[in-house]
Amino acid sequence: MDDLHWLTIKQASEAIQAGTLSPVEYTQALISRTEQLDPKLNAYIKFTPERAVSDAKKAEEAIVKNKSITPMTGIPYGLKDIIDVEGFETTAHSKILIDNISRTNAYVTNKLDSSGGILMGKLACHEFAIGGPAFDLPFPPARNPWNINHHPGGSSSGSGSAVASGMLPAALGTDTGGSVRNPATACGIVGMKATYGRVSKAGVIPLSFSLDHVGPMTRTVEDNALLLNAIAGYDKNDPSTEQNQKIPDFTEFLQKGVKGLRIGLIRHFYTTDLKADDEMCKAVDHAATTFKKLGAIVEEIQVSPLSHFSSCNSIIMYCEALSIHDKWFKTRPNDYSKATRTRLMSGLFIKGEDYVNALRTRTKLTQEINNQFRNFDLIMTASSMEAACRIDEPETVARTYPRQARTVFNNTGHPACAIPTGLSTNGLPLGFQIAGSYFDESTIYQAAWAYEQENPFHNQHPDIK
Amino acid sequence: MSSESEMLLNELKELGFEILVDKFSQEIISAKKTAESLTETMPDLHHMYDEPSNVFTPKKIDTNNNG
Repeated sequence: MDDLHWLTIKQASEAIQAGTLSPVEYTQALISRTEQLDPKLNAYIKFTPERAVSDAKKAEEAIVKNKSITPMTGIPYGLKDIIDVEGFETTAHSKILIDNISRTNAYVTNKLDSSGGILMGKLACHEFAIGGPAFDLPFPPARNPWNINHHPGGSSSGSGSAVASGMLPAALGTDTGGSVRNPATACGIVGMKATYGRVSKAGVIPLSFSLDHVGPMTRTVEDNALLLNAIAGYDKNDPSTEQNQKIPDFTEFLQKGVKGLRIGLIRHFYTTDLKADDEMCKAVDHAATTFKKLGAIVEEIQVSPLSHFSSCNSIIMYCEALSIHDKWFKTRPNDYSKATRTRLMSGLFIKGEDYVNALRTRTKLTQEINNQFRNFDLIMTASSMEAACRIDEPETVARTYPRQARTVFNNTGHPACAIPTGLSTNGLPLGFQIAGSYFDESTIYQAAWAYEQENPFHNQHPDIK
Repeated sequence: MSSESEMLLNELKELGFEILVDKFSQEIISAKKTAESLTETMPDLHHMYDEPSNVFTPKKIDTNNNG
C-alpha cells in the first residue's frame, strides 16, 4: 500500500480490520514521515515513537484476538500539549510548565487509549493556548505545511500542521476563541468545536473555564465524526458535561444529504462587520451556493454585530485566564512570551462591572443565536477573514488574529465546524464554518459531508518533502 | 510617562505585580488600551434593568430548539 500517510482514519481502520494493514507498519510509516517533515514544520513538542510502536503492537494484538476493536484501533493520533498524558510533560508550549509531568491521563486521552488509538506525541500550540506564534519560547512555533513561511493558525497550531502534512490522520486541539477552527481553516482540514459539555475538559490546562472546548481535527468530515465518537461523553470530573445527553453515532446521517435542510447564512459578519478579503468572501459565498445546488434552503440572516461577540469573548477570556495565571504573572512574568504576556495583561484592566456586563451580554447573544435555530437547522458563515498570513511578521499576525467569526460559538456553546473549500491564488487554504443547534453535531457533519463530496478538497495535499 | 500612567503602575505594584511593572511597563500601557477598546465595543446594557441577574450559565440556556 503506497502513501500510507494519506490514508484517512476510515480507510486505515477498514484495512486494519480486514488484516491488510498492520498497525505497526502504519505507525512506522507515520514515524518515518514525521522524522522527515517535522524538522521543517515543528508540529511536535514531544514526539514519542517508542510509545507509538508499543501502542501499535497492542493494537495489533487486539486485532488478532478480535478484542475490543473500534474504528480508532491502530490509528495514530497526537494531542495538543495542554492535554495530559500520564508520565509525560504537559508544557502548554511554555517555559513556565517545562517540567510539569502529568500524574494522570486527561479524560480524552483515556478515551483514545481505551479505543485502541496510538499516541504519537504532544503537539505544539500557542503558549497556554492564547499567545500567538512566538520565537521567544523554549520550542519553535509550528509551521503551515502549505507554505512553511506562513502561520498554521492557532492556538492548536501543531495539531493543524501535523494533520494537514500527513504526519497524523487525527489530532485533538482545544478551542476557546476559535483555536481548533482557526488552524483547521489555515491548514485546509476539518476542525470541530462540539457543543459545550459534549467533550470533557478534565485533564486539560484551562484557558477560560466557560469558553474552553476540546475538539477533533482530521482531514475529512467522516474522520472527524469518528474521532468525536471516540472522545464524546459524560465525565464526572467535568461538571460541564451532560450526564443525560445521548451520544449518537456521529457518522449515522453523513450520507443523508442536505435536501430540504434550512441554512441561515450570516453574511454581514464577513462583508460588513469585518470585510473578508475577496477570495475568502467568494469561498464562503460559493459554499452557500453549493448547498443551494444540493437542495438546501439557504437564507441570509441578521444577528448582532460581530464585534459584540468578539469583545464579549475577549473580556470573559482575559478575566478567566488571568484568574489562572495571576500567581505566575506576579512571580514569573518574564517566563512568558511577549505575545502571551501582552494578551493576558489586558485582563488586569477589565473592571468587575465590565466582566459582569460581558456575562449579561453573553446570555443575550446566546439567546439570539439559539432563537435562530427555531427557523434554521444550521448556520453558516466565515471562519477566518483571509488565508494564513506570514508567520514572521508579528504586526500582520496581530492584525489578522482577531479577524475571524469563530468566537460567536464559543460564547454561545453551539457546535461549530470549520470546513476547507480550496486554495487561494497563492496556494493557501480557504474555508468556512457551519454551526448547529445544541448537541446536534450530526446535522453539521451531514451538511459538511455533502459539501465535501461536491468539493473534494481533502484529495489535495501540500507538496512538502 | 503621564502621571496617570505612573499612578496605574504604582497601583499594580501595590497589588503584587512589581516584577511585571519593573520589566514591562510599556506593554502594560498597551494592554490597558486593548482592554479599553474591548469594553468600548460592547453594547450598552443600561436598559436591561428588567434582567438584573441575567448572567450566563450554560444550565440556564434552553437547549431544546424544537419548540
